Amino acid sequence: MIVFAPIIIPLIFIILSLSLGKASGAVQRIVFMAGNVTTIGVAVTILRRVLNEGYLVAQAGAWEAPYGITMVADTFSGIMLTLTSLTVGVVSLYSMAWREDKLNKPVFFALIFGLQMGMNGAFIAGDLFNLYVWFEVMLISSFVLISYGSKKIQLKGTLKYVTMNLVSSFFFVAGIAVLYSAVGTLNMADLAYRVREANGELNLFAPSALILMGFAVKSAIFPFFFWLPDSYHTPPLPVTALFSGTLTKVGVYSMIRFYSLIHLPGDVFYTQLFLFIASTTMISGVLMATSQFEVRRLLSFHIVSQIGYMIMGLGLFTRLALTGAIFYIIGHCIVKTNLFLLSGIGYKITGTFNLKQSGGLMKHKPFIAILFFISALALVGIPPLSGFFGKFMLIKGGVESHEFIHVASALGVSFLTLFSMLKIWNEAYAKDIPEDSQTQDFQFGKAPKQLVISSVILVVVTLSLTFGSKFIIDICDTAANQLLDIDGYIRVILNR
Amino acid sequence: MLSIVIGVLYAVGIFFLLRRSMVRIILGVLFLGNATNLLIFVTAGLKANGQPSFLAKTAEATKPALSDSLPQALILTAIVISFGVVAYLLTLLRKTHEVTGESDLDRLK
Repeated sequence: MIVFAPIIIPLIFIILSLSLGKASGAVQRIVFMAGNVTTIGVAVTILRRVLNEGYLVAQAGAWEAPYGITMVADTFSGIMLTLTSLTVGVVSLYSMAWREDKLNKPVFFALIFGLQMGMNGAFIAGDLFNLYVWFEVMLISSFVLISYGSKKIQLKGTLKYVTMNLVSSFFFVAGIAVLYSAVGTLNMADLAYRVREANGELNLFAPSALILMGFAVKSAIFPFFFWLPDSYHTPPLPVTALFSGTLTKVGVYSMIRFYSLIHLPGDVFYTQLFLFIASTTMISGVLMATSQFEVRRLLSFHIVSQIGYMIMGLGLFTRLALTGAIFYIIGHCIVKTNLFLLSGIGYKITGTFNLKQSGGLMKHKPFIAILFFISALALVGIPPLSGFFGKFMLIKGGVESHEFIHVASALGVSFLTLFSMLKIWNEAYAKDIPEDSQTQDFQFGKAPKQLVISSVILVVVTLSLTFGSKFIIDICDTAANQLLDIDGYIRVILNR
Repeated sequence: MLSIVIGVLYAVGIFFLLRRSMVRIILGVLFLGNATNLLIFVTAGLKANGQPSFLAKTAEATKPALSDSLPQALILTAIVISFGVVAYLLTLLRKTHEVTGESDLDRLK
């Protein structure tokens, strides 16, 4: 029954944090952190059990598999659960020390738990409609979080975000409906079983196109990513950091999960489609990022670009490439969140998010500069940091599958990423404080210790991805193998 | 017949979404939501020999008039979700109007 815990525990803490509205701030915060720690604990437990037992399956209400609602955790879900709960935990720690934007309210805590509940639900849903419902839970929490504080610029961003995501949800449901009429089931294992039974005779083009549209908007892939850079830089920084690390990954996770079921290995159409999407996403994201001078907008465009690498793993659909993609998701989630957290620390110190007006961090705050340096290089994929292993496996998988154009674009995008990271480094860290701000007796602000600590935690995780890479890659390999072993998945859930 | 209605609803919804006025966004979302619900109903629910999914495929449908009840359950869920979302959207638009004093989306740059 532990499979239900990632949903139930955040739910309990939503109720707790809302009912503690009258209690003192300290009590509320302790409950908030306790909730996060519990969720991380549950996620790690699930990951460990999944590594031992292969799959954890639970049927809601004891209805047998194709009829009831199935909750299933495999290694990939275990990894994602651990990863997101860890990110949420660190960002929570950070947000408590942020002291701006009225973040530390019971409502905010409840929304964070709501977001977490939606994401966890999406990771363990074994049923397509159930997945949609968890998407909505996650989206509604994120709608409120992104408009939290109702500043003018924020509301404009929210409007785009909400409209795009709503429309994509409608397409997703329409896709589910058409899929149901074509296959007659929505349980993912049963779906895979029937698709394989039909031996390619089912025409799934319309539903998979509609569902792709739904996932595409949520994971911000080409050509549906325009809402992301328009809205991600507007909310309070902890919220941005949280969204950038986790939300788009849920879309990518669901894409990999769903398309590995109907994507038969050797199916050229899907392979080429996803590779095309991957390359265009990578290139357009990184090119737009190069012209930005607002740190948060620059990093937002990079999210888009790096989603492309994850989709590339899905497109290649070999064991090596999927391992690389999963490893890349892990590394990217941690590093990206950390870059946002560091840009927040930079904001606390220099008082601006604009690169042209900031500077001098290297000289005056060398410790923060080191934190940034490690994260930025990990994002670019300089060996031996975490981004390298993921990209290396992806590119090796690409070469083995003879997809040289896409390999070339992946390599080129890496260079452009390096360029952007160097730009942040030069502008915010290496160069001196701009003259015009020096004249008005400029003073560095102070970043609270807790902000730096949460960033240090993420850097330590990044480094441990390097030192423990053998261990982590083994886990990713198990996950990729399970993703390819559809028969095993069907057998466990349907007992066939 | 119903499929034409769905097509019209989708068209109207998208047309409204593309207009500049804020109120039209809500109308557009409502139309799209209802079009999707009808689509579930038609494609998945109304089949000539539709039978509940919990009966075995080989078993003769016990009563010819028995239809598959799962899509209706899906629609019910979808209606509730879109209701909640529209409620949120209304608040959001009202707040946006309050803060910016604009009802024209193009001027909200």
